[in-house]
Amino acid sequence: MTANEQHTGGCLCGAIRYRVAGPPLRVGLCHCGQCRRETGSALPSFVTWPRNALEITKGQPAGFRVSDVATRQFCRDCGSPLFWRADKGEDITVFLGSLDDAEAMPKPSYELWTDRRMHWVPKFPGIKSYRQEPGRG
Amino acid sequence: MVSFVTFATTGFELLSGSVLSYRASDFATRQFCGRCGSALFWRRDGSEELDIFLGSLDRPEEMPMPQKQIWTRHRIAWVPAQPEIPPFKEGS
Repeated sequence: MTANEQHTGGCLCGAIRYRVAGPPLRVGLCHCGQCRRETGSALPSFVTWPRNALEITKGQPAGFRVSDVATRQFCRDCGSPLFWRADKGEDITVFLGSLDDAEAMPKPSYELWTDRRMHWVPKFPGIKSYRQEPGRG
Repeated sequence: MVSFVTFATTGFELLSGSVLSYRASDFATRQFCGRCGSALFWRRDGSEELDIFLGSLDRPEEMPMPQKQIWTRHRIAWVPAQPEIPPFKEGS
């Protein structure tokens, strides 16, 4: 982790590329039905940066609103989930799998919506668990 | 942790809408929703099976636990190894 740290990522087909500057704020996991349905994954993972750290260097993601608090952004050519962009706040949440160096990200520090965890999905001892979201349980 | 459930194509029916397709390899097609990008199906060319991304099912928690895991060489270090789910040979 240096002052010049930066990470790059993009979708599966390469139509969309992005760069994020500086270290991430946090890494999280989400068991909620919306994240699960979008990604197809049993355990979606994401990385959060300050919004001004993100620069889209190629292409333009499509957006879809499934809740009234945020827009989900993805590649219209290959479907890859890319960003979860809250209407409020100054953060941007990036789906971990879209990063070129996903394996270099820090371990997750928290998980959301554990009420919906599937029985065979492993537990992550030592990370902060929310039955739903912070402030909701 | 990407997860999928394999069914025979004979039992499969698309109930509404249409899907977009993308080929990232020369032996399979990935299909997704053009409106929201959701990952839906992985179809190997010529196969009579299709893989459905688990998260797209209405009741994914009713699916049996996975019986195999593939590409464990690329498992991210903090993801538990889950030895109770045997690995396939690399690349298979």
